[in-house]
Amino acid sequence: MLLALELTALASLLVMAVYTLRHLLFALNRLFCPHRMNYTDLAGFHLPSISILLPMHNEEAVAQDVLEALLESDYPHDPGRFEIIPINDHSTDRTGEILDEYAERCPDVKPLHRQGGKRGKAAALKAATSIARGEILILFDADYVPGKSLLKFLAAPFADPEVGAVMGRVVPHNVGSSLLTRLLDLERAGGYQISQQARYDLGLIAQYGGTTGGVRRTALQAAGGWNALSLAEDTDLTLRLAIHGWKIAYVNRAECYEEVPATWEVRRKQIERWAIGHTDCLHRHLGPLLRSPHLSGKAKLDGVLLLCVYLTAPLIVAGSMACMALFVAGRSFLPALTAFFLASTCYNAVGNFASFFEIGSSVILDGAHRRVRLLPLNIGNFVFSTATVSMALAKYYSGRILGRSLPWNKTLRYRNGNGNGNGNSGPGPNGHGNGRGLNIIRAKSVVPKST
Amino acid sequence: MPFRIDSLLQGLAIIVLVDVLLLWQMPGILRWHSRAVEILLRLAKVPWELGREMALLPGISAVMLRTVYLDYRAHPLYPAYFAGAALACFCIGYRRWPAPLKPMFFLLLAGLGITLLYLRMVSPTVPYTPEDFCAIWCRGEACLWLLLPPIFAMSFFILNVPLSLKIGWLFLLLLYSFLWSAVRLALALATFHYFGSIWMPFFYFAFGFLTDFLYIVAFYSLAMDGAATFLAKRRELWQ
Amino acid sequence: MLGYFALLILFLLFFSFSFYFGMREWLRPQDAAPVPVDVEYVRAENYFGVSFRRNMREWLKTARALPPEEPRDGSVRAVLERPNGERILCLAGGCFGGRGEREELIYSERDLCLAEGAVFHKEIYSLGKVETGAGAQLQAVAADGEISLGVDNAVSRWVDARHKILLRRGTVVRSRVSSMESIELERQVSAQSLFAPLIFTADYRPVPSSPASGKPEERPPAELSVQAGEVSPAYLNGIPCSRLAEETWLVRGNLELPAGTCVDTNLVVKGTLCSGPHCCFSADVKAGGIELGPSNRIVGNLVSGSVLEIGQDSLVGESIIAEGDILLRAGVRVGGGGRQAVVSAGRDVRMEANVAVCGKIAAGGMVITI
Repeated sequence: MLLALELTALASLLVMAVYTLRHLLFALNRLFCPHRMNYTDLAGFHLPSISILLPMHNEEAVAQDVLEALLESDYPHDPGRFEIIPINDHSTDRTGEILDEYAERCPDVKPLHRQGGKRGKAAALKAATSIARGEILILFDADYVPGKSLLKFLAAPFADPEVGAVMGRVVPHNVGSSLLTRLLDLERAGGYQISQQARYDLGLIAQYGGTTGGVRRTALQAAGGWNALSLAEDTDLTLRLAIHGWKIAYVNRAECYEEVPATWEVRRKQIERWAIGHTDCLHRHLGPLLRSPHLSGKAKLDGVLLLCVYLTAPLIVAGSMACMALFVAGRSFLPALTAFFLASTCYNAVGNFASFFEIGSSVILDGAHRRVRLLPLNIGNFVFSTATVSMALAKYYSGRILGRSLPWNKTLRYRNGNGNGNGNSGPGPNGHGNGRGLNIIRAKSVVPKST
Repeated sequence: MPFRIDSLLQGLAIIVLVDVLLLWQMPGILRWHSRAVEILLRLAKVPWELGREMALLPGISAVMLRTVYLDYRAHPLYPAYFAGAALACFCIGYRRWPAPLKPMFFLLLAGLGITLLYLRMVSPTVPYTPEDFCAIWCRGEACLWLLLPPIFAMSFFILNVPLSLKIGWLFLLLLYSFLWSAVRLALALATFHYFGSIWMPFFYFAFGFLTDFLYIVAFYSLAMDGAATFLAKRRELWQ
Repeated sequence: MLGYFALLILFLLFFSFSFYFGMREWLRPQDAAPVPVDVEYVRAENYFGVSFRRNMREWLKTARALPPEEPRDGSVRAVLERPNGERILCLAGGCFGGRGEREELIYSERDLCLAEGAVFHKEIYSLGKVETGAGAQLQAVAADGEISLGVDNAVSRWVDARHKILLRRGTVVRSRVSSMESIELERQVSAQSLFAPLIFTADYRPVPSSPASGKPEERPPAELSVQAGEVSPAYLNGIPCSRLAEETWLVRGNLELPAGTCVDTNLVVKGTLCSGPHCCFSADVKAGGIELGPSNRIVGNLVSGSVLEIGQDSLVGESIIAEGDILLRAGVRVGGGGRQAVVSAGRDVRMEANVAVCGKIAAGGMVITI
């Protein structure tokens, strides 16, 4: 019994130490080492044909904002080069009507209505891909607000024939809504500005996040297409592309606003979906990842760490309980073990599974300052995430044993509405929707002029 | 570029210097730490006496303080009262408390629960005497004091800000660390004296390294805020 | 117990310090705005010039005229002062400068000629042409006409013109050179980046009949070409390779293509790609390092993970990107035929004589003519 507890505590310590080292390396690489291939110079010069896919389920609160923003994009709107495919996926609100109104006035908008078949984002994307004509599929979630030049930045890296997918940077726009949004803003900054950039620069597997990104259609086909059964189709695709030899380019300059959960309950559902989807990918792809002839040793190692990241949560819980039990049992070497376990956990805790100075460094690089003072409060986010992920994985594994599948939980939207997906909309600049949310975001996005 | 390789090298040099200084002065620091704990125990009316000298780090030893726990053999229901009260608070407040606080209260319950089980099923007292606890605490804190320069240097010294700013913050952090360690140890010993040793694992885990990292990050965040303001004024070019 | 509670209060004070500043920032936010993302941003390659012209027009409206207190240079029509104390010299045109350094912004209503060795620490804007003598040192210059920088000029920032730009031997521009017409570079010129519909180096001879579209002028023998759909092209025999996608081949090691090879699919080479003369590539190419022989034709994009050298008289239809240095040998053409392309290097771009690029050249180091 004591031996089992000791092994648990040691295993937790080793795993946390490896993750600590990983994040330390990411942060130092991002800060000191030169960056890899910068495709942003090609923005506006490499203009492949694109199809923009917008999965939507009850998105009447935000649908017109994203459509307005895309129609105002400076990407050439030639008929053979640009199309928008919003996917009305089993919506029960006015989403379908809004899309049809846009389709009537704008030939670039070609809605796809799905009332039958499997639900969920992956299934919707699969259906839309079969009718899309573009060489490159650009994906946005419905609550995103792409800038005018964003499509050019996302399309540019596909000049490299080895690039199978591109990921941009997401920036929360509803930062001031609650403490949670402010903490998530810090988390996103650390995750994109430091971690994603470093993984790309080090030749590891940068993650394609399923939104504010693009996929090469032939790469998608070669990798087996969208996995409609996956709750984390983005992670699933990331791994399949990497295993098949494609590269994923991260473009820090391709920034887009997103809406992050403003309440802990919504956040809980989001993390639950990510944890389950991600861990499901672990089971599907770990073997092929290790056997892939296209990946280097370090890429495989980092791929394993990437896939196992959500397993650290129950491991931390188990390690903590084990250390506590061993402490009470009076094991004499334990205090040092405990101390190092706690230290390496804490190093990651305040960054919410990333090192705290990833977040601090990202704040400096973004030119902000006061928000870094919120960092100690992130311990709450970490504790919440650890508990939620642990429970989610318990649900997942019990489901696997009992043969249950888990439902897709859509993240609630708050823009223009009350969080229930009900929005009040009037005519907007292109004649549809009042675009109130879009105007609010534009007002927030005014870049201060330098003197 | 706000991050320079020469700042990293500067930080590495300071790690070595400060750690050497700390190691050299560690016996003195531990003595002052002990004196501070004694004063605080006197404030809390907890009787203490000097215990045995124990080795904390190679070549470094210190005299531990000896206090007395509340004897659960005289108060057998106290552990159950505390665990029960924590459980009641958890159940009653569960719906009302903010989501991030709930897991932390679970930690409290877990700590009390595991210790209660131990006290009921294995031994009526925890396996650590007050001197042992002091030794565990002081050893952990001494290691942390030696770790503070590397942690701060790797995270803050890499910025291109004046050395005086960096050294200033490191000094404040170390000073705060010494004082805060003394306060926590004194409260821990006082708590064990008045309420018994069921609180020991919770104190060690919740108010040990976890709390250490909270203030390390708090200082780091303040230092980064100041540095960002300084860099913005100098109009460094960001990459 | 009272003492215990006093100690507890002290404990709570110390404990709350860790959260105090965070709580204050949460409850009384001073930095709760989203990270600024300019959703209205539209990339303009001549951004510096456009932005400066806009600012200058504003400043000319808001600056106040200073009384004529001191002896002025004959070409100075007026002196204006901005609210922040910065001065603007308004010139009628003609020759200006000479010994000494100028700290003012310069605005010229007509063609401007700057003397040899003149030093200007602020930006210059001319509604006509700008011509500088040898050894001039400038901060930045914008002209609605042409710009001709003399020998061994140094520009700390950017150069922008609506018409042609000529950079003479030895000139260094530390930032962007942009023109709406063309940029001519003599030998030993360096700049950080350039943009123009046509950028060319010394001894440029336009090729009248074949635009730089990369379309091959001659087709090699059929047995050496790779058609989409074949399992294993002849020249890949014995080389570890696989198919990434329907139109993309992946070669795991180095690849040397003999003269006259024509590749019809996307090609990814993990090692170094070398080609002999008269090879053609009809799609995109990526390799760990690239060395193309003379008279190659590349229709698609060229991407190199390290250095990239393009042989004499080669044509590249689309963009060239390399993480290391790029060397464009004499006679290379990039872009053209109505298409603009990019040459982008992580380090230096070096160009020999008679090189032309339609579009943009950017370098992490410098763009240098040799």
